[in-house]
Amino acid sequence: MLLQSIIISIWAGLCALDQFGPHLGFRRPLLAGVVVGLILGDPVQGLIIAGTLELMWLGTNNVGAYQPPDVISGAVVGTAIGIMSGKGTAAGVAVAIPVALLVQQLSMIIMTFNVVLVHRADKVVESGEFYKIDKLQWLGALTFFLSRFVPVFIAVYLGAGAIKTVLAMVPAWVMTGLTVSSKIIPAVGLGMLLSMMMKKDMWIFLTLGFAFAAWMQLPTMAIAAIALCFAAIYDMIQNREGAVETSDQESDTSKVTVADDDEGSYDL
Amino acid sequence: MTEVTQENKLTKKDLFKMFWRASWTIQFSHNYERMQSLGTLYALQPVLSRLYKGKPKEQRVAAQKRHLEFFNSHPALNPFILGITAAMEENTAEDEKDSVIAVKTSLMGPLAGLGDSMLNFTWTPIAGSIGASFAIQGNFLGVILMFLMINGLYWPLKYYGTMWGYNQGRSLLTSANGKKILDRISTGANVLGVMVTGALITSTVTLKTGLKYGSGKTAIDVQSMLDKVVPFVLPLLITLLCLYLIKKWNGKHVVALIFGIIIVAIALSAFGIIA
Repeated sequence: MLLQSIIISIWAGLCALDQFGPHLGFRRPLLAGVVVGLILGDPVQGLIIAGTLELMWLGTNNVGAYQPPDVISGAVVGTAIGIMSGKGTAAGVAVAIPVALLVQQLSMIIMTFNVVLVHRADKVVESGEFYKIDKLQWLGALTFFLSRFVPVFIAVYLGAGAIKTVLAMVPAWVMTGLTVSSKIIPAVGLGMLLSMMMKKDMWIFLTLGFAFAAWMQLPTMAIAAIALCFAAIYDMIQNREGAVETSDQESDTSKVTVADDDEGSYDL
Repeated sequence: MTEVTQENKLTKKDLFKMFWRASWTIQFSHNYERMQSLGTLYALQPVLSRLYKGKPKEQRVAAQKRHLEFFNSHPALNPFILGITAAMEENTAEDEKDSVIAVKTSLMGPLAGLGDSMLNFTWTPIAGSIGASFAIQGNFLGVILMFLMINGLYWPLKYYGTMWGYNQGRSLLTSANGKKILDRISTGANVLGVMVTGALITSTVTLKTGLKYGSGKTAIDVQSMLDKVVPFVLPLLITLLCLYLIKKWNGKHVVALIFGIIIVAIALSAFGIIA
């Protein structure tokens, strides 16, 4: 039990590193949760719980600087408790949501704490000991690892009973408020993205994108395809104005390059 | 342009090292002040140590310092920006280094928007929904499919992004209107990013009011009235408010903004004003 709890917590820590590193996919509920099923010796049950959580959290992802509810610890603890309590998916989902919300707050604290690293880096760089940059980078990895390892260990080792006791102390209206706010906060991430992108004329395209989604209810992929065309048209208009500056041959080659890039972007 | 000596010329191995570092660790030191700045400096170490081999200490320190400035983009597209950055570092003289940072920061916003909308909110949910639909039936095939769909796209983006960014970046810079082409790439990505972000407001931000006008059976539900005029108007307004505050505060106080929203949301939902 202790050994399994430790292995599961290490796994949660590694999934957190995937979230802040390579994005292999283990930061998603299905891939994070399915491994917990394997560790606990009930792969099929784990698969079903993790799949349910994946569907529930399909749209939960980071935008800009926004830290979403932590689906990693939610999925790992949810799957573990679902299997260990013998109550399956229902228990898994019930535990996963509050855990994800609590670790989300913890993740924001870690992101604030890590400011220390970059200030330390300022000093290191000044002194010329550049190899120490590597250490600071990996120190950041350690803080993110622990931010999932510790809460997941507490939750899994002390079990669902302890989680319920802790949650019972939090008033229901606070939990409701937290859930509501976790759905509003993506606006901060979008605001952050827009603050980097809102230059001359860009309000036109923001309005277009919003209108296509809000009134016409087009799927994101369709809007992306339309946006690609608008990007090309906008480029043509901008380029016609500036075409006087460059010779014909040069603007021809530049057209080809931009077209290539737009094709590539669309494949994303 | 400076004469690049053989000793200070980037090798494919240097670029591979940069790609490797960026691919595995880019956000390990993610923080609210300068986001991925330390991560990009870490990834650029192999490139900087080659380019500044045997150079005076002031130059080496200045190079490290300029890459510790604020940086934030999409993890899968960062290698592309770093490839271009490496090419620019290699081909600019010491007094032209402002342009390296200008290009680096002008690409980060548009590519972040592109990556978040296309990868985080389109490709990943598609892979996840395929994986989950198999998984809830107890079929392991979904897990494998999801893993392959994500990695089959991310790794080529990262690897060819690095190499293409470096090679194209270099040939762009040696061509007469190189800066203009980079500007156009950036603007095109910007249009795409802004437009899809506008659409994402409706699917990622949820804010509804629980207010009712009047009482009893004749009460008018404010939310359904809003939906008839401008659907998703509250998510739109809150996003624009965040944009306004972030611009006003110059990107600082993001944490305060987030915690402010949490506190206000708890209070308003307790009184049933938002639901």
